[in-house]
Amino acid sequence: MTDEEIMAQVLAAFQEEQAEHCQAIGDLLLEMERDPNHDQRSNLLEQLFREAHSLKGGARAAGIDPVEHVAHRMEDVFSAVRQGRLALTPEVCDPIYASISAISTMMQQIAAGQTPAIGTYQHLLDDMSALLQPQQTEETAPKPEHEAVPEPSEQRSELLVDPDRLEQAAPSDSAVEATPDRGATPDDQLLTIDPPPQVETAAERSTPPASTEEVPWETASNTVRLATTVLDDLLNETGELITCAVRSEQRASQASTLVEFASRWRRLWRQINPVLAKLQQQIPTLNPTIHHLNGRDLSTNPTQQRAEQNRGYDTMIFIAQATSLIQILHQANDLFTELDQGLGQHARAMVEDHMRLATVTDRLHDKIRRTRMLPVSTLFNPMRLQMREMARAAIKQVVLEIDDGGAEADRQVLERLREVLLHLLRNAVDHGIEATGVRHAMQKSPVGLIRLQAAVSGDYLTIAVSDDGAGLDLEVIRQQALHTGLVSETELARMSETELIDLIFLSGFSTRKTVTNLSGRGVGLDIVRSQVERMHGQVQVESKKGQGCCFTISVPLLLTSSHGLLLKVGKATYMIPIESVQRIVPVISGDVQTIEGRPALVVEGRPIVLMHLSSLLSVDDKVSQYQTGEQNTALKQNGQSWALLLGSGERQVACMVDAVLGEQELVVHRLPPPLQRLRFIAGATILADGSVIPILDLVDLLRAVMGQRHMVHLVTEPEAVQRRHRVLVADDSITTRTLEKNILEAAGYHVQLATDGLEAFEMLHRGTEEGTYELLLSDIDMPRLNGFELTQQVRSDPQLKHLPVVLVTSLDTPADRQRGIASGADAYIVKRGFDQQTLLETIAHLIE
Amino acid sequence: MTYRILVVEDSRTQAMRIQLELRRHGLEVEVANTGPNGLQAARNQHPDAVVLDVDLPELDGYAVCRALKEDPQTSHIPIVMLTRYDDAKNALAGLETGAIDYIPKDSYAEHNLIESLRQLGLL
Repeated sequence: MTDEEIMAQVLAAFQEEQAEHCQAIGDLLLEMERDPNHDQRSNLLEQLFREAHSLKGGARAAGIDPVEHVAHRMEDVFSAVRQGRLALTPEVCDPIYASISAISTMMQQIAAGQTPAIGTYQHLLDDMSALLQPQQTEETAPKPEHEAVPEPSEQRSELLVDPDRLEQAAPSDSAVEATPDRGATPDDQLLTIDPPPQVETAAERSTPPASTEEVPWETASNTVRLATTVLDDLLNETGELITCAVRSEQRASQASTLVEFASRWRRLWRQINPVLAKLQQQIPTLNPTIHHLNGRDLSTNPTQQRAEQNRGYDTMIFIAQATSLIQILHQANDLFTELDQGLGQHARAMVEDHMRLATVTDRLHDKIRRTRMLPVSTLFNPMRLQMREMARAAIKQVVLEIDDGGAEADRQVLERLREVLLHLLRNAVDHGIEATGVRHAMQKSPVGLIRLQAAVSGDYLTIAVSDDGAGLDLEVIRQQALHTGLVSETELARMSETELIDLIFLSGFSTRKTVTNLSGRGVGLDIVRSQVERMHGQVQVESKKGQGCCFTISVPLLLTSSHGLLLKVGKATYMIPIESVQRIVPVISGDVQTIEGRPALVVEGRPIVLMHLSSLLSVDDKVSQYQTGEQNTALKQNGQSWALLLGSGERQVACMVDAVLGEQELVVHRLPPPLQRLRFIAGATILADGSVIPILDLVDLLRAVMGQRHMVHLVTEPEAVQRRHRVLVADDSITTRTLEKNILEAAGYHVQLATDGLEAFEMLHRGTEEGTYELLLSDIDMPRLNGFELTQQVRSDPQLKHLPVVLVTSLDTPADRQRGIASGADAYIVKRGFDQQTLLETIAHLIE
Repeated sequence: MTYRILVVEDSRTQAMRIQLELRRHGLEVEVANTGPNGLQAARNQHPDAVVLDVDLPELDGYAVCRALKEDPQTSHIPIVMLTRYDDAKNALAGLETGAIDYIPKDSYAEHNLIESLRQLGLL
């Protein structure tokens, strides 16, 4: 964000805050005046002081000196009263009332685009200062009410302070009148302090501001003011609840498996039962043997007699045992049958309970997520003020039309979209809308129109930023792309219009613009895209040359994903939020084609880059041959594999995985401090079995794939692999030097260091053993010879004048950038915003 | 590495100013408007640093600072206090309660805050 943008937002916040403080001061003072012996006196005084103090602090933060000064004086007065150095007499209160009125007026002037002059209010300051000096009783009643009347140049039709009323109220001798009379005047003044609805300011008081942390107060008593941390807590708890619900599902299914055991018994019983029955039938047939034994004549042989008797007994025992066994088994069967029924019922009940729990938990989770919703108007309305600034800075006539469609979205979604929208709006003003003269020549209305529209469709919020300006110039895009080396001539020839337009979202594309464009702020539209993608959304652009351009952003209303896909990659398991995945497609060996040396999957006629997730997630960004090998192995092993389509439009990737284990509830847990920012990992989730699974980050994945595409281009040229380009890094800070050296060396460059401009120049002349330097990467702030001077010297030197120069610095004003360009640098990268990717891409392009 | 800063400041304007400035430098910023909320937020979110206003309603900055330092879960978090610009004496009191730096709320406040965070290695 630029300074202007930050201050515009802070101003909008202050507009609201000051109104509250002024109101509070007025109310408190009234109360104090009504009852000089108020039992809460010291409390009220404390509060008065706080209000003035906050007013002062806020004004300072918003950079509004006049208000800050007035508030400071008020603070001093209250402080003096608190300490007993001053009595709260009417003549002390008058300037206070006048001050809060003056502050309101000043804020209105600012909202209307004017600059309040402190001179107008100087007497107020003087009066209050005078109060703080040892009292002089001939101090006449202040005349602030008169001056508080807005100046004739006031453009507003509604006056905040009614001059007539005030003139009635403030004849100079009323200062010594009794309180009741006094009471009337402040009342009137205070009534008028309530801000009337403002026609064209940014902060609309009736809508809840997105910047505050709390749901706004309404005078009806059916709303509650809550800190958002309360809601966040609730959300956390429901997250835990969901985990419990998932676990209960596991229990329920385990119970169902137990029922399985019981049914196995039934099957077993069906086999045993007939055997038992047969056995039982045979028992009586054994008996005659015994009876027979008892009744017949015993043989004469005593041994034989005994043997026969024993056999008889054995048989009897056997029969008894058999009968007993049969009974036991029947009993067991009865038990198991009961168990079976009971278990069956229990399992069914558990499943029912779980379903009810899951439904309620889902509903609860959803409702709580929605409590964080705010109207989109809170995002849009402040844009008016920003727009005015932008238009003024660009010296163009632009009007902003807003249609928020009554849409609402998660507070954080709106917050994250703010930057995105600002960038798109700035682009529209700077590059979209033509200068008034040009528009006139084209017979367009002299005032450019930019529209901000929002609509909700299902779970998605769609925001469109459209302008009636010049639209995208495809020829310029083509030239730019060639110029920056992003695409080759041949690729360019093959590109469709959509692909061409999509180039504007690449980070390399806009780097050049930072150098040549006054409005260039950083890396541009790629930030827009990555931010939106980070929110699992999409951004698309439509353009008609000469007629205008429209960027459409589509994001989920709620930031927290509720479902994810469980994936298996090799031995590891990962989770990916369901919104990140466009589709799941099967991959059969026959479908894989090789396009431009890289494997691609043809989906609906379109080739999409194909990679295996395991190669993407492994540490080094090695070349594609390795990946192809892996993929083929995977395919050979499984015959068919699955690929997830990630990303959208031109930035789509088919990511192969070893298995998709299913979809389930996703509760995202942030990683604890040491691990907060890991590449590819957006957080973690806990499965029902207690295992912790990492959640993949879509933007990182896409970036890695796209990055590799570029890397591949560089490396597939055989000479490039062997030859290491020689770069000289100049910076007086050892940390910066080392950091840059490491980055460059990791990317395969040969790096030498210089600690200041002069040393750098000498080294450039000397060159290295292998040859001259091919690029200079230099800081600006250096002793002896600074970056600008060094560049100039390089450019005027016959030997070095063609050397690519990249300036890296923390200076980010347009003036510095201009100097950078003027000195002859090829690129100017601001430290605050730069990341490795940009630096490497810039260097790569310049060296080629 | 995106560092997270918790700002405890009751004035919305000042909180917003700080939030936007810090965001501009690549930091993630959360804001709490009261002492108790600030404590809660610090305990829940474990920010990498806390920027704490001294003049908070209910529970003042010193109390919050002390509480954070006494809680083993949050005692490691560096605290930078924002003080009144004419209040050096109490600013020292802030250091005694465990703050690592104090920054007067004058026109260089944001600049000094950024420098302070830079010293902490968060920028």
